[in-house]
Amino acid sequence: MASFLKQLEALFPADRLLVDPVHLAAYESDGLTAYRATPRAVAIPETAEEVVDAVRLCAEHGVPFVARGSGTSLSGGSLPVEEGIVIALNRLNRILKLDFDSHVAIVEPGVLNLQVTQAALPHGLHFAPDPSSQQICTIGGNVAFNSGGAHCLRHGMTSNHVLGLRAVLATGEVVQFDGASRERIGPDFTGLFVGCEGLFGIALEITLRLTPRAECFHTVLAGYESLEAAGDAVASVVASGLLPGAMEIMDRLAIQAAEASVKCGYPENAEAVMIVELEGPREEVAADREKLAALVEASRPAEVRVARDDAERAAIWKGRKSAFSAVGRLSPDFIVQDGVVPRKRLGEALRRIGAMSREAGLRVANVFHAGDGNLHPLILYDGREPGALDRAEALAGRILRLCIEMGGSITGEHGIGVEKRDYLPEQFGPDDIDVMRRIRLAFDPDEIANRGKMFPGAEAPALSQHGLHPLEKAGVISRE
Amino acid sequence: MTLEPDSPDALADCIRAAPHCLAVGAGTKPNLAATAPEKFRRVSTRRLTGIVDYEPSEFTVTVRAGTPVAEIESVLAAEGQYLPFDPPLARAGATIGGTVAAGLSGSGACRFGPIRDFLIGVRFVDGEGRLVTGGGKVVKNAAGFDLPKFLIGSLGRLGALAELTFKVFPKPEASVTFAIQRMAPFNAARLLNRIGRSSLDLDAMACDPEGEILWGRLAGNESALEKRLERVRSEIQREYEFTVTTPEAGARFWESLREFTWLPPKSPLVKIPIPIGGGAEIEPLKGTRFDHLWPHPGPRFYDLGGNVIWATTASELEKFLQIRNFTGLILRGHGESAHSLWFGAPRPETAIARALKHALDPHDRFPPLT
Repeated sequence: MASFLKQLEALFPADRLLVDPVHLAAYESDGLTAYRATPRAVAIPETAEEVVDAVRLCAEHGVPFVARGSGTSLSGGSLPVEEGIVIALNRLNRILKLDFDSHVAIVEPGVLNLQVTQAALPHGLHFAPDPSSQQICTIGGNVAFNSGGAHCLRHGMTSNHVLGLRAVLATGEVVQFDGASRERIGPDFTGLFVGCEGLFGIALEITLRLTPRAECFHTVLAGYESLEAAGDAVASVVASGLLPGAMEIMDRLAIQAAEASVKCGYPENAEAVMIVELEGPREEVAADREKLAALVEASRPAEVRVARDDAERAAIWKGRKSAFSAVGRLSPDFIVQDGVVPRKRLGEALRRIGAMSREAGLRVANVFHAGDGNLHPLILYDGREPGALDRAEALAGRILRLCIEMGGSITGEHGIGVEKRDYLPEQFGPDDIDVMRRIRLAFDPDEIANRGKMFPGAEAPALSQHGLHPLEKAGVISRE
Repeated sequence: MTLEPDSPDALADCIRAAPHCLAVGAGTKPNLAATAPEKFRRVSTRRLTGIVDYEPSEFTVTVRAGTPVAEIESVLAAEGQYLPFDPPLARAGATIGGTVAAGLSGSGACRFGPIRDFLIGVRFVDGEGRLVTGGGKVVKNAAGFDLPKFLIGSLGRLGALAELTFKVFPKPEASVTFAIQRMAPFNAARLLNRIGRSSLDLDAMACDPEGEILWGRLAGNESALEKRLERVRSEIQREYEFTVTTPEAGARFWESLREFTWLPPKSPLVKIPIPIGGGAEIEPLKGTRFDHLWPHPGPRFYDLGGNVIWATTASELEKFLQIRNFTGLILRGHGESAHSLWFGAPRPETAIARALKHALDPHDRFPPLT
């Protein structure tokens, strides 16, 4: 290690190579604040060449590395490895090319998600994936974890918007996968790389597809006297043949917290609210909104609000996007889960989560992407209470098992990370995992890239107690 | 004798019993199998058919690999749903497994994306003869590596597909086709870029560079189509002739594109992916004083909103592609085999591609990807 660090010092000036424990502390944890680990060093490259040099040095010495963007992972995806280094990519933040004829942007991994859309909007284009942390999360992190957002049913996840990439693999090999076309021939290497959770290497240049921003939106908020009624309303919209851009549900606890926090004006006393948003050319939306109005009417809501302008639309979304940090303020600590169930079993899943919550004596708030069955139960606990974290984690585990049992998934958009790796063998069989391991070893024979993530059996890092992510406390980011 | 397993387990048994093999579908893209040496025993998916699970309320369908695309489409249509990427050669009998292995999408991919945006789960037999699952059966899922995507375009060289799960969408209520005539390819490419960037939300766009016609399709609510069509018309410069086709003529045109009947029967067929603005880059010279630099590329069609060229294996086209560093995939050759999978510029050989082939097929049970 001493010789490795010496050579690393030769690659990076002192102000871009952190070794002092005081400086390292900022990198100990990410959005999954219950885990922390101190790396040996943090390297802060400014160019792709410096990233390649750092990775090659790690490969030569067998030293693990963890690539990190803004550290917003909710599954502990950028948790450091104690015997390794962190490669912080925030300074690789250039948009290298914006080609509005080809509808592509080529960006470095440290570019923020929202920056891409901001750069493209004047030309009527945007980058569709919109995780709730989009103001702060990086494209590199989105690529590693195949991030989602509220619009995945219609628009897909990050992988559907990444056309190609240049990457340094854990072996030090630099590769270019695919290019600026939506079409390709041969195996889809780009598709394999997106969502690899940092286990293959580091993306250096990412070719993103920019899509026309919808011309018109129509956003409806409906309050219901029961969670089940809201779930039925979503089912009726889906069955009608409409394809909304987003469909969300929040339960009573989440509504009350959001109301207290951002005064979003949601119906008081509603047991649940549904948000549905239509999008498309204005003539198309005009025809769809009539169909939607009839469906909502038939679902017997206690109250309906239709956004009349952008400000009212923003107000509806503000309540939704702030819900998690708002609920988080009700409790010193919380765990946010990310399971997926088939949409038609949402009602059943919520009933069973409610029963589990009562059994465990822990409050659970529900906010979810109803359109794609992606649940985000938020388990509230007090870490100062002995055994509370264990009970909360046990409840989280029961919820994940419920998702698997219902034919769903243990993660819709947060990834496996360190948080859910013990559940991977419950969703996949031993042969499935063996194939994934072989693929991992093809990219990284020494398992130095983001060691300890996704696959079970790795040594567990230290668990500790924390509340909100500092950026969440400041209201800069929020959770899906 | 060709092996004909009738279940995923039987497929795995067949593959374990054959030291060298290749799964084949209906043979609508004959070059993909013909380029594999004879020692690779053909395993037919002819009996590996059927819809395993269809949940209209979930927008998902799971099918066996040998199921004809046309059969899946009719089952979905009965519930008002469809595969939005218009899998090619459906009428010719293409199977869904062959479509995934070849990585093919048709005109409709212009709007909601190609096949990679709809395949969400897969069961396949790897080179060890094991039945392996990747992805899932729900529309949103980030667990594990994205094997479904990796197997798109893998040509049966990384594994044999057994079962596939797709996201499906509600089928638009109505559609209308228009043609813009006297459109030189260069201008067509520029128009494709401009319309593609607009919020007009076209369902399909394709260009016939020889006939100088740009074809477009709008789909959605019937009541909105007339007004949307008017807006497209207003985007087009006056010098071009804008015609709205009859529904029958429109359907006939898209069908001929999708089935490649615009080419002589059994003519060679190549898929060449290009950057979205690439049409302008490739065809700028025709009809100008630089015309002599443009070879005789043979019949061809720009499709998927200008993301792909369908062409034949004309030798002058191949030279041109080599110079411009574009590579195509030969789906049909002259006669049985074109003796190569690839057309134009050579594909780069990478250490990682070799390592991944070895990871999935360590004993070279399946043919090479070269």
